[in-house]
Amino acid sequence: MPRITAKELKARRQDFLEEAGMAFDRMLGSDGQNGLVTFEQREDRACELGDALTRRLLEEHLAADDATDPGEEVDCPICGRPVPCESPEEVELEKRQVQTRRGAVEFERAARRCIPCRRVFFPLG
Amino acid sequence: MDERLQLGGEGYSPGLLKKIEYAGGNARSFEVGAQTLERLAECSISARHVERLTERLGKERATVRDVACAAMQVGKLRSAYKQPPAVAVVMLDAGKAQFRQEDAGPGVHGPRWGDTKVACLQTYTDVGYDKDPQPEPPEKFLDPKRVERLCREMERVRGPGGEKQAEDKSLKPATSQKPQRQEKQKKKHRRRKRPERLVRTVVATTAKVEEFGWMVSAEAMQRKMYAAKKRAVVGDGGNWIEPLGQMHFPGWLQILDFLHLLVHLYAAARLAFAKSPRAAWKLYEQMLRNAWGGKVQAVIDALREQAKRLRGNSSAGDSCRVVELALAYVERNRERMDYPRYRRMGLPASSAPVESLIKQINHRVKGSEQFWNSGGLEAVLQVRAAYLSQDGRAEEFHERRPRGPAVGRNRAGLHQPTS
Repeated sequence: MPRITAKELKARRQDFLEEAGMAFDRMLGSDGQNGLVTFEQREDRACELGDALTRRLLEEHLAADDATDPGEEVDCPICGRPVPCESPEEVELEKRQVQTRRGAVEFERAARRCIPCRRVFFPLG
Repeated sequence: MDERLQLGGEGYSPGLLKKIEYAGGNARSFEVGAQTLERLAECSISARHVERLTERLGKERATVRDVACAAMQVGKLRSAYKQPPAVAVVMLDAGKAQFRQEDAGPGVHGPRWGDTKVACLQTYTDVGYDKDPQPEPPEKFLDPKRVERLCREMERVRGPGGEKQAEDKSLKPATSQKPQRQEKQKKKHRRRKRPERLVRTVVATTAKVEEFGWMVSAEAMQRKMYAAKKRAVVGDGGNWIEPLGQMHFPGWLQILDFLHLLVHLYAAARLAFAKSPRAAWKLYEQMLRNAWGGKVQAVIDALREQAKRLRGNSSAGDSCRVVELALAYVERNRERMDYPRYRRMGLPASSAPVESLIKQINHRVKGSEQFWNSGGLEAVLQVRAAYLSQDGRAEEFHERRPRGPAVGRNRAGLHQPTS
């Protein structure tokens, strides 16, 4: 079953367009200039806003990935024992932060807890 | 999910990780690498972190290399290419770097100089000639200033340090050709179709010669160089190069780098006539022309004559030794000095490409304040070698590098690359 429905996708698109609109407003303001005079000021603002939108796009894409919650059995990377996943629909999701070329993005992915090791790990899936 | 995303456990996206590795492996130091990332990639990361990530990736690259070596040793390594190159040349040389004592705490303990070994695997277009395309030595080898500079430069690159020597201004270019004729000759040379360099790949390591030999042969095998129509190994006559060539490249032409021969001949001539620069230059020019023309016996005779003369002179102890060393060098390498034949076959007679590589590698690893742990240097050499290779391996590696599972929250700190 897809992780995201067509309805949700449409809603997220709308959210994204709203954020893009806000970025446009922060760049141009109400007078088309928003107090930005030098080229450097304009470039800095455009890059900052563009980077934020890039991160948002990347996060949306990661969030919509089916593989975020795989259900198969995996081995613990520490003790090597199998860590079963009895109910994939209830799999624990952990936030992970990754530094990218445009700053940090966060996404959720399936985490497994190895009881004997008392460790949380992320299957390669 | 990480596997599908091709995401490692480092907390950096693959795109950013490539930049970090590039900066760590190619900038003058990890500190400069971190500053470059901050300035150019707007990525704030500490020098220590750049070091850790670069070394991790370098070790992963070394693991891939070692797997290929092991396959080569049992005869199971296959080439990645369908077509062999027309002309394959392996050039070998060694450089220097400063090491520190391992596990000796902060600071530099037990500093010492050690060797790095470098191989340049170069392919060329196939160009053959009916007769020697350049029977006369290049003008630069007959210009005292340029020869002096060349010899100094070679010493500086290879040795631990390097001091500037005063140029001998009493000598002028020995050529008697008029400028017009020189220009005409230059044009003629420009018109001649020369072998064109195609793809270069690089192997660099701190490992011993035996292991280095397997690394180079594995690389040659992967590039299908053993099936090339023309094959040669070019070296400087170092005592480890000949056995390596015979063991791993049997049937390949073994060529002595002409520039190293030149340096030996020049040193011998200078010391044979230490008080008479003109006589020294005359002797050098005569030996150089003979060597260029493949008349090895004439070079040996000239050196023998000088050695005999100096042996009778009690005050010429050092000079005599240098001449005898040059004589032994030429005698030892006489089978690798058929330069007219190499030129006719369109093969290089110089290991300048690997000398250039040594310089480029030294730029990263050899500095007055750079003292390496052997593991750290080995890892950085792998990264540097990958980025100096021209087959795209630096980037390709990231597409298929083994990734380990990230361990979250109460992190275990374990990272085992998967095979």
